Amino acid sequence: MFPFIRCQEPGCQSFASGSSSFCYHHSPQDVRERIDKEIREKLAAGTSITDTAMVNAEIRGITAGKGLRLSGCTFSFSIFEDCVFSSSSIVSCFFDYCFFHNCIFSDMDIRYSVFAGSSFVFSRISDSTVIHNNFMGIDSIDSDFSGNDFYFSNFSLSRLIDTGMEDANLKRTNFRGCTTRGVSFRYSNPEEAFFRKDDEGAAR
Amino acid sequence: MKIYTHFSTEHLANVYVVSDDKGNGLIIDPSYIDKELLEIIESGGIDLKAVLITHAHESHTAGLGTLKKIYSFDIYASASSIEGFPARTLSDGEKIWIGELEVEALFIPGHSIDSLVYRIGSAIFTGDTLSSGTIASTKSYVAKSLLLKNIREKLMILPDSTIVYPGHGPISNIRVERMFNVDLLEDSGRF
Repeated sequence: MFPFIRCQEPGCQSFASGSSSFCYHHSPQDVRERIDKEIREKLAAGTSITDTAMVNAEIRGITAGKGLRLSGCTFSFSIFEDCVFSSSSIVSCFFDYCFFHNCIFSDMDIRYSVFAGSSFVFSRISDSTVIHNNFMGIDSIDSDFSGNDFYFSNFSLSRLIDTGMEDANLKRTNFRGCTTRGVSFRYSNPEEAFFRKDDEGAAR
Repeated sequence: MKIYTHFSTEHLANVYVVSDDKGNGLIIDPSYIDKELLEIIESGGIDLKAVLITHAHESHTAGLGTLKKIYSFDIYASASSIEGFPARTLSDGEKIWIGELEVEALFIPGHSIDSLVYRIGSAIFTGDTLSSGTIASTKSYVAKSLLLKNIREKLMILPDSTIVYPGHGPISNIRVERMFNVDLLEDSGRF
C-alpha cells in the first residue's frame, strides 16, 4: 500500500508522493514533472506500479502496455482522458473522485479498488473481472460496463445514465439508491443484485 | 506497512494480512484458511505474531484452529476466549505494538457485544461494523442506535483519507463513507 505519510502542506489530507514530503499536487514543479514522467513511462511500458501516491494528476492520451500491474496506488481526484488500459490488473488502488473521459478498460482484472465519486463519460469498462470494487456515487453517462463480472461490487447512490450493463454478472452487486435512466441489463442477472436494503438482508 | 487482502470463499469474508517492513505480521479475522492465504504468509516471508479478531462470529474466526496448528501467535480480541483459544483482551482506545505496527482498538458494540475496530496507521479494519455503503446488521433499535453513535463519534472523526478495510465487500475510505453510506445518510435524514 502507498506510504501512509501525509502531505506537509497545512490542511492537506492527501498522502505524500514517493520520496517527496508533499502530495503530488503540492510538490514543487520539478518533482511533479519527474513523478509524472516516471508514471507515464511505466504505464506505457506495462511494468508494475506499486505503492505510489499520485493525487490530483492529469493523465491524457496514454495507452498502457499490456501486462501492467497497478497495486496499492492512489490516483484520487485525477483526470484520465483518452486513456486505454487492456489485459492488465488493478488491485487495491484508489481512483475515487476521478474524472474518466473517453477511457477504455478491457480484459482487465480489477479487484478491491475504489472508484467512488468518480465520473465516467463516454468511457468503457468491458470484458473484465471487476470484483469487490467500490463504485459508490459514480456518475456514468454514455458509458458501457458490459461483459464484466461485478461480483460484490457496490454502485449504491450512483447515477447511471445511458449506460450499458449487459451480459454482466451482478451477483451480490449493490445498486441501492441508484438512479438509472437508459440502463440496459440485458443478458445480466439483476435478480441476484441488491436494489433495496431488504434485498441485502434476504441474501445474508 | 503492507496490507494483503484475501477473500474467503467459504464465508464470503475478507481476511487481511498486515506486515511491517521487517516482516512482522498479523492477521485480522482469519476466516477459512486456504492455500492462497498460506501462500501470502509464506511467500511474503511474514513472521506471524498476532491474530486480531474484530468480533467472535464464525465467518471471522473459523480459521483460527487451522492457523494455530501451523503458527505460534497471540490472539487479541474483546472477549477472553475465541473458538476455545485464550485471547488477550483489548479495551477501547488501548494500543499495542506488533513489531513496528501500532494497533489501536476501538470498541464499537452494536452488531455484537464484542465488536472492535482496529486502527493501524491510516487504515481501519472494521469487521462487520462498517462496510462500504452500509453499517452492520443489528438485533434491535437500541443496538442500532448505539452502533450509529459509536461510528459517528469514533470513526467518522478520522481523517477523510483513512482507508476502510471491511470484513465483507469492497474497501472504502472515510470521505466516501461520509458522502455515500446509505445507512449513515438515512440516519441523518439525508436519504
